[in-house]
Parts: sequence; structure tokens; C-alpha cells
Amino acid sequence: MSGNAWPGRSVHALRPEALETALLGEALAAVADRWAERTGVPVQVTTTGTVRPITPEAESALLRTAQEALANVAKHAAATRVGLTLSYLDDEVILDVRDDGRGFDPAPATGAAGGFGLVAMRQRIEGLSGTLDVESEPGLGTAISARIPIEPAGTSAESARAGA
Amino acid sequence: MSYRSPGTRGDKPIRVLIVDDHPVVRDGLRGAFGPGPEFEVVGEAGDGAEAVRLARSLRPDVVLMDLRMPVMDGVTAITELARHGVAARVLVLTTYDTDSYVLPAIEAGATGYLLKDAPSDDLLRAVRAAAHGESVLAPTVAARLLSRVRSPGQEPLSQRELEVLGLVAAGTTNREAAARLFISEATVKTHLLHIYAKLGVSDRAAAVAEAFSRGLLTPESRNEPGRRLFLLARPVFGNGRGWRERERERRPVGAGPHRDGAVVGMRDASDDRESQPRAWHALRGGCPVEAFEDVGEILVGDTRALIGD
Repeated sequence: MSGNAWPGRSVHALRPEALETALLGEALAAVADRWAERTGVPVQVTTTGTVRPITPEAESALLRTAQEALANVAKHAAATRVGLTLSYLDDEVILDVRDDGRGFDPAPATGAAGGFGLVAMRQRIEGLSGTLDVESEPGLGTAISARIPIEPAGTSAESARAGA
Repeated sequence: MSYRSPGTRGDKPIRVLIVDDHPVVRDGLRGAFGPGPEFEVVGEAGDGAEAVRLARSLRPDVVLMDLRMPVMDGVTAITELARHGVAARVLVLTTYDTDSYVLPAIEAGATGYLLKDAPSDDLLRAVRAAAHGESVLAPTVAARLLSRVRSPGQEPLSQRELEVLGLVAAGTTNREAAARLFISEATVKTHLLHIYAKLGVSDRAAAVAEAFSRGLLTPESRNEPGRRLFLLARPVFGNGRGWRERERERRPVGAGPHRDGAVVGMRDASDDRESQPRAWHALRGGCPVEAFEDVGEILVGDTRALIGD
């Protein structure tokens, strides 16, 4: 990946078509597959909880977050493994992107974190009343967690819960 | 436990004490019992304190208790009656059927809970039943209680939540659980909060205990040799000594090493009276591992080190 590829053309190009036909989970898997193919780093995509429709804005924001986080991993992390987890909870959906790469010190939040494009990521999630957490430590990888509130799941007993 | 059943003692009337701060209501109730031989209104009280005084001296079979009253409210009065060992059955008769009234009254020891809009026939039947020690609940109150009992646990845990809970039960910290599941610690915490809400608990120790008592987790599911459960809380008062010393010091009679080498954990009574029975519950449920929780702090270790004295 060239230095300025992120968030570059391919990211934008993926967005509409990936979501047009697929559930968010599938769109994420498609993004992850392509990324893994390109970088040679395996990505494990996991979906937990009861999958259900969320707003296109939320889907789009989470997909973008995943793409940007993956781009960061490719660019900075030197990871050997990436986990992309989509968690449907009762009242929110959470996207986690975790890698086992070199990590960084997130303390100077406006420094390295800002430089990694996290500010834009955060703004996008916060724009949907969500929160973005960045956990990292030098040598111990990075985990990015984007939470967006969604309509509570149906309370009926028959709303089966999908396993992990 | 004394069990008085005055209704069955020949033809003796059921002795009733009426407690309500409104004279008109008291009059109405007295009228409802009529002049017949079955009931005898032995007294009336206008507040909880007076009710306690009268109940102790008059020894009624049934106390009809309003809840909202001046000087001393009904729930406090019920508690006081129990504290004084008054054998009278308390039948709450009030206009409120909300949680904030129903549950405390029942917890304090009320035998029954009726609403003031009940027909007088229902009232008499309820007093009769209460005199026999039977529980009488207005239908709306019963429904409320049932839903209350069900609601905290009705929502099943998701597979992922069970995974998180299993890790917690195995003594894993949030950080370790996050590493294991390869997700962020923030998400682990979020899962935990949802788990607490679903189980109706407020900390991880209680969540583990509750999960075992509900059979959501089985001891075999994460029985690691050499590791044992204990639930431990750091005391809120501190003088700088380590938690091991504290634990030794505070180990109650009979709480020592479990027969299979497990420890026991505990909290200070001053800290949280409820969690100690929960800890025991977890142990009785065969919970073999190590999970500790202080309010917000997690201590992890092999308990054999802890009991190695």
C-alpha cells in the first residue's frame, strides 16, 4: 500500500456496492477477505448476537470504520493476525478491530492517534451518537471499538439469538 | 415458627386491627367487618407507630395495614412488628400497587397485599385467609410480583455473553478476556454490563454466582486443576496490609478451606451483606475456580497460595 492510499480510492469504491446487496456482516467479510488477500495477513471475521437490520448510516459508518482500521493495520501495525468482530447487543452494535501488531501509545491522543486518522473515525461514529475506543500498547497490538446505539431488539421469546 | 390459625379454633372471632390514617377509611373498614361473630375489630391506629404499640398489646390475629401514613409508614411498621415478634398476620390494604410499595411490604413480612378498591367480600375472604397464614395478593400485585421475579432473568444470555461469563468465572480479567476473544476490553466491559443487567446483579462475583445457581455455567465447563474459586473483596477500610492477611483474618468460622482445597471468599459485612451468601451459593454449587471481585478491583490468583497457612 502506498503512503496515501488510506483512506483512498479502494475504500470509497467498496462502500456502496458492498452494502447494496449484503448484510453488514457479509460486507465486512468481503472487505476483510480482500484486505487479507492484499496484505497476506489473515482476518478472522466473527459476528455475535442477534443479527438484525440497522440503519444504512450505521452500516456505512461501521463499514468505513472497519476499512480505515484495516488500512491502519496494514500501514502501521506489522500484524500477523487481525480479528474483526461485529457484536449485536440489545441496544447497540459494536465493531471491534483488533490486531496483534506493534501497537502504539495512545496516551497522546491528539498525536499518534490523530495522525492515524482516528479523529475522523471517531467523528463519524460520534455523529451517530456512538463512541469510539482505541486501546493500544506498544508491542501488544491495537483494538478499535466502535459502538453505535440501535433500536432495541424485539423482546419476544421467538427472536432467536444467533450464536457466536 | 409459630403458626396461629385462629379461624380454626372453634368459634372464636378473628381479631382485626385496622391501621389507616384516614378516619373515614377506618370507619368504612370497621363497617365492612359487620357485627357478625366471625370478625372482631379490636382496635384502630392512625399511624405505624400506634399500630405497633396496639398490635403488641392487643395481640390481633390480622393487622390491616395502610402504607402511607404519618409518623411511621406501613412498611416500617411491618418491619417493627416482625422485630418485636408480633405473631399477627399483616394484610396490606392500600391504593398503590407499584413496585416501590409492593416489594418492600412483602419483603418486610406482609402476608397479603390488597388494594382499597377490592370489594368487601374479597376483603373478608382475604382477612380470613391471612388469619390462616395464607398469602393473599391482589391480582395486579401478583402479576407485578411475577413479572418482577421473571424480568431480570427472562432475557437469555447470548452465546458470546456466556463465553464472557465463562471467562470471568475462570478468573480471567477483562484484559485477558479481551485478548482471548481477540476483541477490545471496552467491548468485554460492555458485554459484562449487559450480563449484569440480564442476571439482575451488579458485579462480576454476583454474576458468576448467579450463573452457577441458574445452571448457565457448570463447574465442569472450566474446571482447571489447581485453581479454585474464591470471591474476595478488599475491605473498604484499609491500613495498608495485603489482601491475603485480610482474608485470613476475616475468614468466618466454617469458611476455611473447602474440602477439595478450595477457598472461600468473602466480603466485609460492612461492604456488601448480600454477596457473602452468594459466594456460598456459588461454592455449594460446586464452583471450583477463582473469581474475585472487589467493587471495581479484580484480584486473581491460585487460592492454594492463599490458604497455604
